[in-house]
Amino acid sequence: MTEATSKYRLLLAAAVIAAVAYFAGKNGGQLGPQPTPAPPRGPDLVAVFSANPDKAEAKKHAVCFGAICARIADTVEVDAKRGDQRRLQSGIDISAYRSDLRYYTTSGWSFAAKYPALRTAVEEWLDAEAGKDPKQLDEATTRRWVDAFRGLAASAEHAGRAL
Amino acid sequence: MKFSTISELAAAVAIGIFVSVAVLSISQPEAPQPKVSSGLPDAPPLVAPVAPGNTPPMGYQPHPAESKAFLQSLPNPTIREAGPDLFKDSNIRKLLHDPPKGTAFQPQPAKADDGVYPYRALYKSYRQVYGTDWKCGTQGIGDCVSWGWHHGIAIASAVEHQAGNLAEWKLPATEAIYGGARVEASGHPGDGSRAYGGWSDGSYGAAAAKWVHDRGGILFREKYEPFDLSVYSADRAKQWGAYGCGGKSDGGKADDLAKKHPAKRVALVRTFDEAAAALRSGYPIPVCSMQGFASTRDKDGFARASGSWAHCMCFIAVRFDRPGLLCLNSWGETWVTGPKYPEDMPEGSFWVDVGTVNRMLAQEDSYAVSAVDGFPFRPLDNAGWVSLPNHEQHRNPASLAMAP
Repeated sequence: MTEATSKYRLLLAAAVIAAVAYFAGKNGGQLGPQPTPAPPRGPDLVAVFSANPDKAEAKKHAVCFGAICARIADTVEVDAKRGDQRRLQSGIDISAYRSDLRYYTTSGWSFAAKYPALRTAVEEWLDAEAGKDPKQLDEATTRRWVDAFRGLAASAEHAGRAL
Repeated sequence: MKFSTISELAAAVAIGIFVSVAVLSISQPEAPQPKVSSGLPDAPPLVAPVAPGNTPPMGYQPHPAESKAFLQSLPNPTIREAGPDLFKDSNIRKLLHDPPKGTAFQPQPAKADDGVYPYRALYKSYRQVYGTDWKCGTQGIGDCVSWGWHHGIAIASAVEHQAGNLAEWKLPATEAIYGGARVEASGHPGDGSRAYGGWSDGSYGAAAAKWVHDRGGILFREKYEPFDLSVYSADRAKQWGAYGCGGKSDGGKADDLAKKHPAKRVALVRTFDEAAAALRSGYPIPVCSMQGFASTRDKDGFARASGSWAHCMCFIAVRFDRPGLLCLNSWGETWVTGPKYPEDMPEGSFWVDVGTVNRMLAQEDSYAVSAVDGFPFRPLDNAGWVSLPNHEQHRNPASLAMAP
């Protein structure tokens, strides 16, 4: 092997390494194509919160709504562990709690004021996932409410990231 | 004025500020605070309570033949026949030696499982609906039967309301029960065309049972189109007691309104065992008897049987540590004094021992009563909560359907 050939191979190797490094950096440190995050199972709240032209504000509202939904899910789940002493014993109780939490978290402000499509999106999701039964909750219906609000929370958090 | 030192200057300034604030405080009366509406209906006001020593009105007039005829009209006249399931797991002899565990109405028992207290559901529902604490009312004429049944239905409905089985709860109006029991339940027309009931006072348990369950139902402490039942009126009770539910020339309109909310079930209770079983399941017992009581409670909250009262009251709780039933009167909060157990037992109530309870119920004119019908649940509105302008609106399920 001549000295020229050896230099040529070294240059080629360096070029390959540089090219790999370049494309790796371009893809966020990954060699393959960037995987698309799975969309949340819940309703498409990106479209809902996009109604606000102020994207920064919309992002904030989506995160806030997601936090409320996550809190409702956590509370229903934890409260159910209290057995006979649980405070959220019926669909009516959950209805009252979610209204109170939304009201006090937003100081009475209505999400529907800026995001009119939110009502329908939330209603369709909760009707399908948790139902509309106002009566006594059992283990299965409690789980449905928890999962339904977790789904809403995930959708809202996703909207907060995507906006 | 000269100040020789900074400390003198500072002291003068401080005194000046103090005097200014004091003068302003005196010269400017406190600004009136805006009245903040809670969004809840006003609680029904109370009549002045009966003072100790005064002779209070009663009004129980036994009608054994009519009571027997009413019982014969019921497919399941007694609590044992109407609710056999109540007795499957409530053998009282077992309860006396092995008291039940706490129930939904006994969230924090003061001591080891010693009873069932359905009146606590009334406390909760009343506060949720009216925003204030419930207080025992005072009858103004001999309409005790309507008060005993008012308390029974209020508590039975509150139990269902708190259990999530009744969508709404409201305080029943005594005048409608009284008029219905005296006139319509006695077979007279409910059009108010004549004073069929007469102007004397009094009624009996079977008549009230027949009215609230069979012939009529319940009106509530609220405004109706032709009349306002928001506040108890002894005068209205007198008028309706003569002309029937709705009063003079009502044309039967009030009867039609009452029929929308009948008591779902009534059943005769004849013994302590039966009463205890009913109360354990949340059914109070308006009790009609001739038994009187002392106006002081002993160390356990019991009142001694004493004298004769032709009276109707309501059994609203049961205990097993010292067996007895809690009896709620309708003479306000101050007619009886002495220790209470548990601490939250209503003012104006007292415990009755088993022997006395059995004597009272042997009159066979006392009934376990269930919640009212006609408050069906509406499906939840899963959209309104993200936008309701008033967080209290969820208390009224009807408003949910109207939320923007």
